[in-house]
Amino acid sequence: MGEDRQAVARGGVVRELFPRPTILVGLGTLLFAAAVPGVIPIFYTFLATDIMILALFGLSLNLLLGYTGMVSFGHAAYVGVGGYAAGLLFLRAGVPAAAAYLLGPVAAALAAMLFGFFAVRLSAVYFAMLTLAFQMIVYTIVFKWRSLTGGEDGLRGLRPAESLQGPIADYYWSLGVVALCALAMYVLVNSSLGYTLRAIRENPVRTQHMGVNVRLHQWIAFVIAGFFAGIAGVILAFSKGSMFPEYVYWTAAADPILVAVLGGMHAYLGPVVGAVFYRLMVYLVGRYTEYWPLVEGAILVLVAITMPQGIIGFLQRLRGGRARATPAARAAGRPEAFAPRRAPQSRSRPADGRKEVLRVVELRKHFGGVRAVDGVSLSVEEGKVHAIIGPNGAGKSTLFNMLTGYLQSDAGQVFFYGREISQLPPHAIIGSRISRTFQITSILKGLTAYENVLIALLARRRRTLDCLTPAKGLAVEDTWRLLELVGLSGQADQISGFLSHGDQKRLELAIALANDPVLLLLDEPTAGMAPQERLESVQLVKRIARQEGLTVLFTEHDMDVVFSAADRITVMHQGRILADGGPEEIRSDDRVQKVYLGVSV
Amino acid sequence: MTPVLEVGGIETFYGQSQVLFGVSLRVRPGEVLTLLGRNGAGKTTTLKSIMGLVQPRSGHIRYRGREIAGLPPHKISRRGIGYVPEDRIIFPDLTVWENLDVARRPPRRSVSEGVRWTEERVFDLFPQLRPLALRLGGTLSGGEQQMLAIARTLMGNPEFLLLDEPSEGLAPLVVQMLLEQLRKLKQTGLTILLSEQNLEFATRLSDRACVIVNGQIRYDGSMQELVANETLRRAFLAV
Amino acid sequence: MIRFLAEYFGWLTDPSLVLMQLLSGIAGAMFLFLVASGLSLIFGVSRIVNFAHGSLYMFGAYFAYTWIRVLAGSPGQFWIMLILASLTVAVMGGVLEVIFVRRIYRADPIFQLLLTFAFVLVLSDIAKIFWGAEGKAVPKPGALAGSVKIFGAPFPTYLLLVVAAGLGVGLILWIVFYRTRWGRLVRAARHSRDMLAALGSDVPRLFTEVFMVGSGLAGLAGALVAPIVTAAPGMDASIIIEAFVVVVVGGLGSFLGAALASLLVAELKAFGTLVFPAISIVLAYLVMAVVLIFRPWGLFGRREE
Repeated sequence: MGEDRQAVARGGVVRELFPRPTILVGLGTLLFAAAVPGVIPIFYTFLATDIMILALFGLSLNLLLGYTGMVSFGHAAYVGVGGYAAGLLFLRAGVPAAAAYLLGPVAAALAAMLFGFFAVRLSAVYFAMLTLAFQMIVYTIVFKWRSLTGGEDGLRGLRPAESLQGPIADYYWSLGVVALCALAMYVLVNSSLGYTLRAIRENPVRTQHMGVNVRLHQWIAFVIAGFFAGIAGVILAFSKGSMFPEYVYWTAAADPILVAVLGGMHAYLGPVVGAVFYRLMVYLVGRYTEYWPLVEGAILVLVAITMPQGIIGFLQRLRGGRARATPAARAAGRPEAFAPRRAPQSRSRPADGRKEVLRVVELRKHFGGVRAVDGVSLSVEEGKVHAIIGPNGAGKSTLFNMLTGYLQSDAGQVFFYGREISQLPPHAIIGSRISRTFQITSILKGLTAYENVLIALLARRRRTLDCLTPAKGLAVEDTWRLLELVGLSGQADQISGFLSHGDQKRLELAIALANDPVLLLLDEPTAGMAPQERLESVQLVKRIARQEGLTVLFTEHDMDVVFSAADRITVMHQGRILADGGPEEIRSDDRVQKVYLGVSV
Repeated sequence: MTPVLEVGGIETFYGQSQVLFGVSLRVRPGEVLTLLGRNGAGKTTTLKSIMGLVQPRSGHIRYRGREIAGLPPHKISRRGIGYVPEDRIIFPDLTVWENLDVARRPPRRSVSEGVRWTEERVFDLFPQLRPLALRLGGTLSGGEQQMLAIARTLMGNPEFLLLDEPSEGLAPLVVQMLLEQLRKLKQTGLTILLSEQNLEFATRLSDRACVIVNGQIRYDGSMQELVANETLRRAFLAV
Repeated sequence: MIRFLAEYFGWLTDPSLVLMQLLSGIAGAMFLFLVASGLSLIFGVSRIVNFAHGSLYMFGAYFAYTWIRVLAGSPGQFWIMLILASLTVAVMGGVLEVIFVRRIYRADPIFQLLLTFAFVLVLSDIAKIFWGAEGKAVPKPGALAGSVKIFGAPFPTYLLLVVAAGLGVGLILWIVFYRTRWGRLVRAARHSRDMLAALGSDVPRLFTEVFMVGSGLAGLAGALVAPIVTAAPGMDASIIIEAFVVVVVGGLGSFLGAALASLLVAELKAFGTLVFPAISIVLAYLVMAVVLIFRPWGLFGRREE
């Protein structure tokens, strides 16, 4: 912690958080918005208010869509809950306007908490449909419960007499709230939580294998997004003085999506740009035609098919260059010198050093008629480099996937230092300091190498729920140290998906090491590497393992690699253990020679 | 002899990362050419590029003298190229018979009456499948799935077969059986491009080999020479 | 307590009312089933959730109106109309697929949702341009206009036709899906379109055909419902949300699931109306939520990886 704070101080929070272009754009927008009532006729302040509400709505949705990768098709529900809750409290319960203003968003957040609890359990398409159904529940209630909500006539008379005077005051009030919310969300997306959400968007499986409870974080994102949508709803209710069921109708769900996609969902200000553009178009085109939806639909078709990056993405592409990080994504400055790495934290290690780290008992997994793993028992001793070899399809990867909870086993148990872990979810297993890499390299491809390692470190330090501290100021030294360790400090700002195959493998190793593991599971760490590269990379693993006293369990194809690196070798064949022993034993085992090494060896 | 298939300098990418760096090879009529290489070397990608399942960015692929690069997979298949993928991709909720049926294509004119594939002939070649005709594909064992995958491709009456690591993950006995069946296939005159890691399996089926290393062909010559030359083997292959 | 029961469940003492609700629920289920099975069929192969499916249903109703006028006076006009309306909508679906949808099969799901949502907007305006904002009534065929007595209670004959049509189409779908080569191709495409293409099937064409069949089912449902509700703007929205509930509960891609979930949702609506008239559809949503908690991929769906 202390080290983190220092890093923040050195980097300068404000400078980290607000690179100059962001400040300029943000202030420019704000100034322009502030000048609006002075330079244009009063009527347009209504339009401008509309734009701001829509921008806030879009920004809140984009927390889910652009940052977490969750396609919510029912976000208008929370505008509705916020607006109606505030309106009803004010109108029917006599709550003062100021309190209603605060309670509306809280109600929206509570609704998001309830609905989100169910929705985050589902995969993409089902998630979209369930969120939509929840929105329809809200719609049905406000539409049908006339006595309370006024039904289709709407909830009218939301004019708090004591506060706002006229459209201009109204406008500034809304502008202030929207600007504050936009700032709050900006801080959030640049915090540890924001980076964790990006990680989930990029690769939920990898994020889970950094030790992050993905579902919990998705839920939190959903609630936060609901809260800010609720604020948009409250502004809507009080600036218009009324709420109508059609704000919650299913077609309303498309507004924030359109705005985010149109502006560019991978840029923070994308929804703002989209909102301005969209509302102006509604205004300029919509008044000449009674068939506005048709025009809107045509625009949507064009955007969906030809402009997936949105306006901002389109402009960025004109300027070219995507392989390097945008200014905002750039790594925190590299420290001049590293403090020596702290000694690995104490691990209850017995004196004889022969303790069993991992014990696998009769583990089984069948896929249809294929017995991928058919009763495997295995013991891994502390401090050893232990290899599992076997032909393709022998069940090595399936076994690995069961060890970290990625696959549920059909039968059998796994013990880690004597504690059963077979029923735990992956993030809990990783949290007990087991790390793994995947046969097909699993990294956060859209983020920089630096961010990959950083997020893994934040997960290890349980900082992923911190939504205030800018992530770029945290764990600076350790991030650089790990990048240095695997030889990637020169590529820190490279988008990791553009790294070479070998570099991606090394990055994944750094991610695994960030978890400060006791046991390192490497699934084919050298797959696809050139022979020379293979030896180097295994030597690297071995060196690190010795330095940090790690136990390593890895699967491998390459016999040279296995015999040069492993202290102990387990041979798998057709889902079973064929042989188990030291390298010499394995080399001279008849059965192994027959099925694996080939008769010629 | 004019090659049946001529691949010239293809470069294939997955997204931004390049997998094939100018792969060239020629397959002669009636032969079994083995593409050897380690995991990740580019064997599967080469076969997928030929089949049109990934589009190479440059280079040419000629089948019987006509360019097929850029065609959609079904058109390539209808030219007479059959493809058996590494992961077999049996349709799990179709029965064995139904798996065969969806692959049935009327033979091209060049295929003579006598060598037309029917369920009967396919079952003759793979007798193990006959009693399983009504079982769902997803319930088969690995070996049975592999045989079904080959049998299914034969139903399209191919004249040229792309066979991706058929021996992978199979028991020695099953591999042995499969080897016999593939030899019979070879005798029918079928040209085969085989991708393998199992050197022994490859040796017993084919005469010529290409070795692919990191997306480039590094050896192209006779099988015997490759087997005899220990340095060559050690340098390029897993064993 | 007694008063509460009497107030909300008093109808239970009237068996003919219960029977009526049951039957009209079954009839309602048929429309839902036709729409949902088309939605499900399209999703099964293309992984696209077609928001515009409700619009196609609405167009089915409008085309029913138009074709009935075109065919006025010819014998069997109603039956010919059903066929023509379904075909017209099938062609519409095919055109949408060929021009737009096939460009985004491999795109991010958000763009797929956005595109089909755009269809909803465009199609509803096109319907307004062609048929105006007023509802268009379609007459029932004379022979089916009356009602029959079932256990002493009158029941509209036309709804019996609907039930028969639903069952008939369900049976045909089952046969097509499980007993024809086309059905086998569709089931194979659901698993791997690439493998199917590598085996020589023209997969892009198959996708278009699937879109046409799915759309045709929606068109048929719309044509069948037109004589009961009149073709009018807004029909698209009301059906699509219910159809979503049906496919989510039943499991996307499963016919059996669509059939049973249609029945469940329609009966919930029919009986829910008696108990909580205002919010009967909410019951269906709640059922959906409960199902998804225990089986996130629906009752008969397949777990997504």
